[in-house]
Amino acid sequence: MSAPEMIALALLSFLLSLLLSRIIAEKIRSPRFMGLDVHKPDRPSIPKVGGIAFTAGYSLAMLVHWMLVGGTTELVLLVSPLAAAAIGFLEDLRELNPILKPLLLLLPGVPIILLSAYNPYPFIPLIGGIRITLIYPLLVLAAYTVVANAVNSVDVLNGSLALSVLPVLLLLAGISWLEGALSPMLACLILSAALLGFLRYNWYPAKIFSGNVGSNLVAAVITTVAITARVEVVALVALLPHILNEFLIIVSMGGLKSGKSLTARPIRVVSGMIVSSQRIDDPITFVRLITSQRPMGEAAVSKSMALLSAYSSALALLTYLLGEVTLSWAR
Amino acid sequence: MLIALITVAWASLVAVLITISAFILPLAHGIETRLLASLTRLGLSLILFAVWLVWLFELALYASLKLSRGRRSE
Repeated sequence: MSAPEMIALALLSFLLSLLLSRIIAEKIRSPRFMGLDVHKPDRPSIPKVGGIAFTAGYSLAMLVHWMLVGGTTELVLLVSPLAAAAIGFLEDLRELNPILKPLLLLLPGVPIILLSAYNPYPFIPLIGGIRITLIYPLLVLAAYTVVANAVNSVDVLNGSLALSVLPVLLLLAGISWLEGALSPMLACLILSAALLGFLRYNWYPAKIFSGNVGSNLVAAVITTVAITARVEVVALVALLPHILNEFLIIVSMGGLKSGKSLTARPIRVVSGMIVSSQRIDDPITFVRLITSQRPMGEAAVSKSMALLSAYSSALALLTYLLGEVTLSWAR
Repeated sequence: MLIALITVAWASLVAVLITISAFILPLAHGIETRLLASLTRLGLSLILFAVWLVWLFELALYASLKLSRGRRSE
Protein backbone atom coordinates (compact mmCIF):
# COMPACT_ATOMS: atom_id res chain seq x y z
CA MET A 1 0.00 0.00 0.00
CA SER A 2 1.38 3.41 -0.98
CA ALA A 3 1.88 6.37 1.36
CA PRO A 4 -0.96 8.47 -0.21
CA GLU A 5 -3.37 5.54 0.29
CA MET A 6 -2.32 5.24 3.95
CA ILE A 7 -2.83 8.98 4.46
CA ALA A 8 -6.25 8.74 2.80
CA LEU A 9 -7.30 5.94 5.19
CA ALA A 10 -6.08 7.90 8.23
CA LEU A 11 -7.98 10.95 6.98
CA LEU A 12 -11.14 8.88 6.43
CA SER A 13 -10.84 7.55 9.99
CA PHE A 14 -10.34 11.06 11.42
CA LEU A 15 -13.27 12.59 9.54
CA LEU A 16 -15.71 9.78 10.34
CA SER A 17 -14.72 9.85 14.03
CA LEU A 18 -15.08 13.64 14.16
CA LEU A 19 -18.49 13.56 12.47
CA LEU A 20 -19.87 10.72 14.61
CA SER A 21 -18.50 12.30 17.81
CA ARG A 22 -20.45 15.45 16.96
CA ILE A 23 -23.62 13.50 16.21
CA ILE A 24 -23.32 11.50 19.48
CA ALA A 25 -22.65 14.69 21.48
CA GLU A 26 -25.68 16.47 20.00
CA LYS A 27 -28.25 13.74 19.42
CA ILE A 28 -27.94 11.02 22.06
CA ARG A 29 -30.11 11.73 25.10
CA SER A 30 -31.37 8.25 26.08
CA PRO A 31 -30.69 7.76 29.84
CA ARG A 32 -29.12 4.33 29.30
CA PHE A 33 -26.38 5.90 27.15
CA MET A 34 -25.73 8.85 29.49
CA GLY A 35 -23.19 9.16 32.32
CA LEU A 36 -22.48 11.77 34.99
CA ASP A 37 -19.33 13.86 34.72
CA VAL A 38 -18.57 13.67 38.46
CA HIS A 39 -15.54 15.95 38.31
CA LYS A 40 -17.60 19.03 37.42
CA PRO A 41 -19.34 21.14 40.09
CA ASP A 42 -22.78 20.78 38.39
CA ARG A 43 -22.23 17.06 37.51
CA PRO A 44 -23.65 17.27 33.93
CA SER A 45 -25.04 14.18 32.23
CA ILE A 46 -23.31 13.48 28.89
CA PRO A 47 -23.28 10.58 26.37
CA LYS A 48 -20.98 7.77 27.60
CA VAL A 49 -20.69 5.77 24.36
CA GLY A 50 -18.56 8.26 22.39
CA GLY A 51 -16.08 5.45 21.76
CA ILE A 52 -18.47 4.26 19.04
CA ALA A 53 -17.28 7.23 16.95
CA PHE A 54 -13.61 6.24 16.80
CA THR A 55 -14.48 2.53 16.75
CA ALA A 56 -16.45 3.20 13.53
CA GLY A 57 -13.67 5.38 12.09
CA TYR A 58 -11.00 2.77 12.82
CA SER A 59 -13.08 -0.19 11.68
CA LEU A 60 -14.16 1.34 8.36
CA ALA A 61 -10.59 2.35 7.46
CA MET A 62 -9.22 -1.07 8.46
CA LEU A 63 -12.01 -2.81 6.53
CA VAL A 64 -11.06 -0.87 3.39
CA HIS A 65 -7.41 -1.76 4.04
CA TRP A 66 -8.26 -5.46 4.41
CA MET A 67 -10.36 -5.41 1.23
CA LEU A 68 -7.48 -3.81 -0.69
CA VAL A 69 -4.63 -5.90 0.75
CA GLY A 70 -6.20 -9.03 2.27
CA GLY A 71 -4.17 -11.18 4.66
CA THR A 72 -4.50 -12.73 8.11
CA THR A 73 -2.74 -9.96 10.04
CA GLU A 74 -5.01 -7.36 8.45
CA LEU A 75 -8.07 -9.45 9.34
CA VAL A 76 -7.17 -9.87 13.01
CA LEU A 77 -6.34 -6.14 13.25
CA LEU A 78 -9.99 -5.60 12.31
CA VAL A 79 -11.79 -8.48 14.06
CA SER A 80 -10.08 -8.66 17.48
CA PRO A 81 -10.52 -4.94 18.30
CA LEU A 82 -14.15 -5.10 17.10
CA ALA A 83 -14.83 -8.08 19.40
CA ALA A 84 -13.31 -6.17 22.33
CA ALA A 85 -15.38 -3.07 21.47
CA ALA A 86 -18.57 -5.19 21.36
CA ILE A 87 -17.84 -6.53 24.86
CA GLY A 88 -17.22 -2.95 26.02
CA PHE A 89 -20.53 -1.81 24.54
CA LEU A 90 -22.28 -4.63 26.41
CA GLU A 91 -20.69 -3.36 29.62
CA ASP A 92 -21.76 0.21 28.83
CA LEU A 93 -25.35 -1.01 28.60
CA ARG A 94 -25.32 -3.10 31.78
CA GLU A 95 -22.92 -3.55 34.67
CA LEU A 96 -20.94 -6.76 34.22
CA ASN A 97 -19.79 -8.95 37.08
CA PRO A 98 -16.15 -7.96 37.87
CA ILE A 99 -15.11 -11.60 37.53
CA LEU A 100 -17.08 -12.23 34.29
CA LYS A 101 -15.66 -9.15 32.55
CA PRO A 102 -11.99 -10.33 32.49
CA LEU A 103 -13.17 -13.73 31.29
CA LEU A 104 -15.18 -12.19 28.41
CA LEU A 105 -12.12 -10.16 27.47
CA LEU A 106 -10.23 -13.35 26.72
CA LEU A 107 -12.41 -13.66 23.57
CA PRO A 108 -10.67 -11.02 21.37
CA GLY A 109 -7.55 -13.19 21.48
CA VAL A 110 -9.39 -16.19 20.02
CA PRO A 111 -9.23 -15.03 16.32
CA ILE A 112 -5.44 -14.59 16.64
CA ILE A 113 -5.07 -18.16 17.88
CA LEU A 114 -7.56 -19.68 15.43
CA LEU A 115 -5.97 -17.92 12.45
CA SER A 116 -2.43 -18.56 13.78
CA ALA A 117 -1.66 -14.87 13.42
CA TYR A 118 1.07 -15.05 16.08
CA ASN A 119 4.65 -16.19 16.31
CA PRO A 120 5.40 -18.24 19.45
CA TYR A 121 9.07 -17.16 19.40
CA PRO A 122 8.90 -13.69 20.97
CA PHE A 123 12.04 -11.61 21.12
CA ILE A 124 12.84 -10.42 24.66
CA PRO A 125 15.37 -7.57 24.84
CA LEU A 126 18.60 -8.60 26.66
CA ILE A 127 17.56 -12.27 26.52
CA GLY A 128 16.96 -12.84 22.81
CA GLY A 129 14.45 -15.11 21.07
CA ILE A 130 12.66 -17.60 23.29
CA ARG A 131 10.52 -20.60 22.32
CA ILE A 132 7.23 -20.75 24.23
CA THR A 133 4.95 -22.61 21.83
CA LEU A 134 2.65 -23.97 24.56
CA ILE A 135 2.45 -20.90 26.82
CA TYR A 136 2.26 -18.20 24.12
CA PRO A 137 -1.40 -18.80 23.10
CA LEU A 138 -2.39 -18.56 26.78
CA LEU A 139 -0.42 -15.32 27.08
CA VAL A 140 -2.23 -13.98 23.99
CA LEU A 141 -5.62 -14.58 25.64
CA ALA A 142 -4.48 -13.09 28.97
CA ALA A 143 -2.88 -10.06 27.29
CA TYR A 144 -6.24 -8.74 26.01
CA THR A 145 -7.88 -8.80 29.42
CA VAL A 146 -4.85 -7.29 31.21
CA VAL A 147 -4.37 -4.47 28.68
CA ALA A 148 -8.12 -3.74 28.43
CA ASN A 149 -8.39 -3.32 32.20
CA ALA A 150 -5.20 -1.27 32.29
CA VAL A 151 -6.29 1.14 29.52
CA ASN A 152 -9.79 1.35 31.00
CA SER A 153 -8.30 2.31 34.38
CA VAL A 154 -6.87 5.59 33.02
CA ASP A 155 -10.10 6.59 31.26
CA VAL A 156 -11.28 8.57 34.27
CA LEU A 157 -10.88 12.21 33.23
CA ASN A 158 -11.78 14.31 30.20
CA GLY A 159 -9.25 13.57 27.45
CA SER A 160 -7.17 11.17 29.59
CA LEU A 161 -7.77 8.08 27.43
CA ALA A 162 -6.82 9.66 24.10
CA LEU A 163 -3.91 11.71 25.46
CA SER A 164 -2.41 8.80 27.38
CA VAL A 165 -2.50 6.32 24.48
CA LEU A 166 -1.45 8.62 21.62
CA PRO A 167 2.30 8.48 22.56
CA VAL A 168 2.06 4.68 22.81
CA LEU A 169 0.35 4.38 19.40
CA LEU A 170 2.84 6.71 17.70
CA LEU A 171 5.78 4.80 19.21
CA LEU A 172 4.33 1.44 18.13
CA ALA A 173 3.71 2.86 14.63
CA GLY A 174 7.37 3.90 14.37
CA ILE A 175 8.76 0.62 15.68
CA SER A 176 6.37 -1.45 13.53
CA TRP A 177 7.65 0.49 10.52
CA LEU A 178 11.25 -0.24 11.54
CA GLU A 179 10.32 -3.93 11.87
CA GLY A 180 8.70 -3.93 8.42
CA ALA A 181 5.22 -4.61 9.86
CA LEU A 182 3.29 -2.15 7.71
CA SER A 183 -0.28 -3.20 8.57
CA PRO A 184 0.27 -2.88 12.37
CA MET A 185 1.90 0.50 11.67
CA LEU A 186 -1.12 1.60 9.63
CA ALA A 187 -3.51 0.37 12.36
CA CYS A 188 -1.71 2.60 14.90
CA LEU A 189 -1.85 5.62 12.58
CA ILE A 190 -5.53 5.08 11.73
CA LEU A 191 -6.47 4.77 15.41
CA SER A 192 -4.40 7.86 16.30
CA ALA A 193 -6.27 9.84 13.62
CA ALA A 194 -9.62 8.57 14.88
CA LEU A 195 -8.71 9.48 18.48
CA LEU A 196 -7.81 13.03 17.40
CA GLY A 197 -11.30 13.40 15.91
CA PHE A 198 -12.84 12.07 19.12
CA LEU A 199 -10.63 14.28 21.33
CA ARG A 200 -12.23 17.40 19.82
CA TYR A 201 -15.40 16.49 21.78
CA ASN A 202 -13.80 14.62 24.70
CA TRP A 203 -11.36 17.36 25.74
CA TYR A 204 -12.20 19.41 28.84
CA PRO A 205 -15.06 20.23 29.31
CA ALA A 206 -16.08 16.98 27.59
CA LYS A 207 -19.28 16.64 25.57
CA ILE A 208 -18.88 12.86 25.25
CA PHE A 209 -17.14 10.04 27.15
CA SER A 210 -15.36 7.16 25.46
CA GLY A 211 -17.03 4.42 27.51
CA ASN A 212 -15.81 0.83 27.70
CA VAL A 213 -16.55 0.42 23.99
CA GLY A 214 -13.76 2.92 23.24
CA SER A 215 -11.21 1.90 25.87
CA ASN A 216 -11.57 -1.79 24.94
CA LEU A 217 -11.05 -1.01 21.25
CA VAL A 218 -7.88 1.00 21.97
CA ALA A 219 -6.52 -1.75 24.24
CA ALA A 220 -7.26 -4.46 21.69
CA VAL A 221 -5.58 -2.53 18.86
CA ILE A 222 -2.43 -2.05 20.97
CA THR A 223 -2.40 -5.73 21.98
CA THR A 224 -2.98 -6.98 18.42
CA VAL A 225 -0.24 -4.68 17.09
CA ALA A 226 2.18 -5.87 19.81
CA ILE A 227 1.52 -9.52 18.90
CA THR A 228 1.50 -9.20 15.10
CA ALA A 229 4.51 -6.84 14.93
CA ARG A 230 6.33 -8.94 17.59
CA VAL A 231 7.03 -5.99 19.90
CA GLU A 232 5.45 -7.41 23.06
CA VAL A 233 8.01 -6.22 25.61
CA VAL A 234 8.27 -2.77 24.00
CA ALA A 235 4.48 -2.40 24.25
CA LEU A 236 4.60 -3.58 27.88
CA VAL A 237 7.11 -0.84 28.75
CA ALA A 238 5.15 1.82 26.82
CA LEU A 239 2.02 0.84 28.77
CA LEU A 240 3.79 0.90 32.17
CA PRO A 241 1.71 3.86 33.50
CA HIS A 242 -1.54 2.10 32.50
CA ILE A 243 -0.51 -1.31 33.83
CA LEU A 244 0.92 0.17 37.04
CA ASN A 245 -2.29 2.14 37.56
CA GLU A 246 -4.49 -0.95 37.20
CA PHE A 247 -2.15 -3.04 39.33
CA LEU A 248 -2.17 -0.42 42.12
CA ILE A 249 -5.98 -0.23 42.04
CA ILE A 250 -6.40 -4.02 42.25
CA VAL A 251 -3.86 -4.46 45.05
CA SER A 252 -4.98 -1.44 47.10
CA MET A 253 -8.66 -2.49 46.78
CA GLY A 254 -7.84 -6.09 47.71
CA GLY A 255 -8.88 -7.76 44.45
CA LEU A 256 -11.10 -7.30 41.40
CA LYS A 257 -14.09 -5.19 42.44
CA SER A 258 -16.54 -2.96 40.64
CA GLY A 259 -15.65 0.70 41.12
CA LYS A 260 -19.32 1.54 41.62
CA SER A 261 -19.57 -0.78 44.65
CA LEU A 262 -16.83 1.01 46.56
CA THR A 263 -17.40 3.85 49.00
CA ALA A 264 -13.70 4.74 49.35
CA ARG A 265 -12.53 7.14 46.66
CA PRO A 266 -8.94 8.03 45.73
CA ILE A 267 -9.81 11.68 45.02
CA ARG A 268 -12.34 14.39 45.86
CA VAL A 269 -13.46 17.40 43.83
CA VAL A 270 -13.31 20.70 45.71
CA SER A 271 -14.30 23.91 43.88
CA GLY A 272 -13.62 22.25 40.51
CA MET A 273 -10.13 21.12 41.58
CA ILE A 274 -9.08 17.48 42.03
CA VAL A 275 -7.75 16.79 45.52
CA SER A 276 -6.14 13.48 46.50
CA SER A 277 -7.49 11.49 49.42
CA GLN A 278 -5.51 11.76 52.67
CA ARG A 279 -6.64 8.35 53.93
CA ILE A 280 -4.04 5.61 53.62
CA ASP A 281 -6.66 2.89 53.05
CA ASP A 282 -8.30 4.55 50.01
CA PRO A 283 -7.45 3.11 46.55
CA ILE A 284 -4.09 4.18 45.14
CA THR A 285 -4.36 5.47 41.55
CA PHE A 286 -2.15 7.57 39.31
CA VAL A 287 -4.61 10.47 39.56
CA ARG A 288 -4.31 10.31 43.36
CA LEU A 289 -0.52 10.23 43.14
CA ILE A 290 -0.42 13.10 40.60
CA THR A 291 -2.59 15.30 42.83
CA SER A 292 -0.88 14.26 46.09
CA GLN A 293 1.31 17.36 46.26
CA ARG A 294 -1.29 19.96 45.33
CA PRO A 295 -4.88 20.17 44.01
CA MET A 296 -4.99 20.34 40.22
CA GLY A 297 -7.52 21.11 37.50
CA GLU A 298 -8.88 18.17 35.47
CA ALA A 299 -7.21 19.24 32.21
CA ALA A 300 -3.84 19.64 33.97
CA VAL A 301 -4.07 16.10 35.40
CA SER A 302 -4.89 14.70 31.92
CA LYS A 303 -1.85 16.52 30.50
CA SER A 304 0.32 15.07 33.31
CA MET A 305 -0.89 11.58 32.42
CA ALA A 306 0.00 12.21 28.77
CA LEU A 307 3.47 13.35 29.85
CA LEU A 308 3.97 10.15 31.87
CA SER A 309 2.84 8.12 28.88
CA ALA A 310 5.26 9.98 26.59
CA TYR A 311 8.05 9.30 29.08
CA SER A 312 7.29 5.57 29.29
CA SER A 313 7.13 5.48 25.47
CA ALA A 314 10.65 6.97 25.39
CA LEU A 315 11.76 4.19 27.80
CA ALA A 316 10.07 1.68 25.48
CA LEU A 317 12.14 3.04 22.58
CA LEU A 318 15.24 2.60 24.73
CA THR A 319 14.15 -0.98 25.45
CA TYR A 320 13.75 -1.60 21.71
CA LEU A 321 17.27 -0.26 21.13
CA LEU A 322 18.56 -2.56 23.92
CA GLY A 323 17.00 -5.41 21.95
CA GLU A 324 18.96 -4.33 18.88
CA VAL A 325 22.16 -4.43 20.99
CA THR A 326 21.27 -7.97 22.12
CA LEU A 327 20.74 -8.94 18.48
CA SER A 328 24.14 -7.57 17.45
CA TRP A 329 25.78 -9.52 20.33
CA ALA A 330 24.01 -12.69 19.25
CA ARG A 331 25.37 -12.22 15.73
CA MET B 1 7.69 11.62 41.68
CA LEU B 2 5.73 9.50 39.19
CA ILE B 3 8.49 9.91 36.61
CA ALA B 4 10.85 8.44 39.24
CA LEU B 5 8.37 5.63 39.93
CA ILE B 6 8.16 4.70 36.23
CA THR B 7 11.95 4.97 35.85
CA VAL B 8 12.53 2.65 38.80
CA ALA B 9 9.85 0.24 37.49
CA TRP B 10 11.55 0.17 34.09
CA ALA B 11 15.09 -0.10 35.51
CA SER B 12 14.05 -2.97 37.76
CA LEU B 13 12.39 -4.72 34.78
CA VAL B 14 15.67 -4.40 32.86
CA ALA B 15 17.49 -5.75 35.95
CA VAL B 16 15.10 -8.74 36.00
CA LEU B 17 15.81 -9.39 32.28
CA ILE B 18 19.58 -9.13 32.86
CA THR B 19 19.34 -11.52 35.84
CA ILE B 20 17.41 -14.05 33.77
CA SER B 21 19.85 -13.69 30.89
CA ALA B 22 23.06 -13.75 32.96
CA PHE B 23 22.22 -16.16 35.81
CA ILE B 24 19.02 -18.17 35.35
CA LEU B 25 19.47 -19.34 31.75
CA PRO B 26 23.13 -20.47 32.20
CA LEU B 27 22.16 -22.12 35.54
CA ALA B 28 19.43 -24.17 33.86
CA HIS B 29 21.82 -25.23 31.09
CA GLY B 30 23.68 -27.25 33.71
CA ILE B 31 20.64 -29.40 34.40
CA GLU B 32 20.70 -32.61 32.38
CA THR B 33 17.01 -33.31 31.73
CA ARG B 34 15.45 -30.93 29.16
CA LEU B 35 12.03 -30.83 30.79
CA LEU B 36 13.54 -30.11 34.19
CA ALA B 37 15.71 -27.38 32.67
CA SER B 38 12.66 -25.72 31.03
CA LEU B 39 10.64 -25.91 34.23
CA THR B 40 13.54 -24.49 36.25
CA ARG B 41 13.91 -21.56 33.84
CA LEU B 42 10.19 -20.88 33.81
CA GLY B 43 9.80 -21.23 37.59
CA LEU B 44 12.74 -18.99 38.46
CA SER B 45 11.72 -16.39 35.86
CA LEU B 46 8.15 -16.30 37.20
CA ILE B 47 9.41 -15.93 40.78
CA LEU B 48 11.56 -13.00 39.65
CA PHE B 49 8.57 -11.33 37.94
CA ALA B 50 6.44 -11.85 41.06
CA VAL B 51 9.17 -10.21 43.16
CA TRP B 52 9.21 -7.35 40.63
CA LEU B 53 5.42 -6.84 40.98
CA VAL B 54 5.60 -6.83 44.80
CA TRP B 55 8.48 -4.36 44.60
CA LEU B 56 6.42 -2.08 42.34
CA PHE B 57 3.49 -2.04 44.74
CA GLU B 58 5.66 -1.31 47.76
CA LEU B 59 7.32 1.49 45.81
CA ALA B 60 3.99 3.06 44.87
CA LEU B 61 2.69 2.73 48.42
CA TYR B 62 5.83 4.45 49.69
CA ALA B 63 5.42 7.24 47.10
CA SER B 64 1.77 7.71 48.04
CA LEU B 65 2.50 7.92 51.79
CA LYS B 66 5.48 10.23 51.30
CA LEU B 67 3.49 12.64 49.11
CA SER B 68 0.51 12.66 51.50
CA ARG B 69 2.75 13.38 54.50
CA GLY B 70 4.53 16.13 52.58
CA ARG B 71 1.20 17.81 51.87
CA ARG B 72 -0.04 17.51 55.46
CA SER B 73 3.08 19.18 56.83
CA GLU B 74 2.65 22.23 54.55
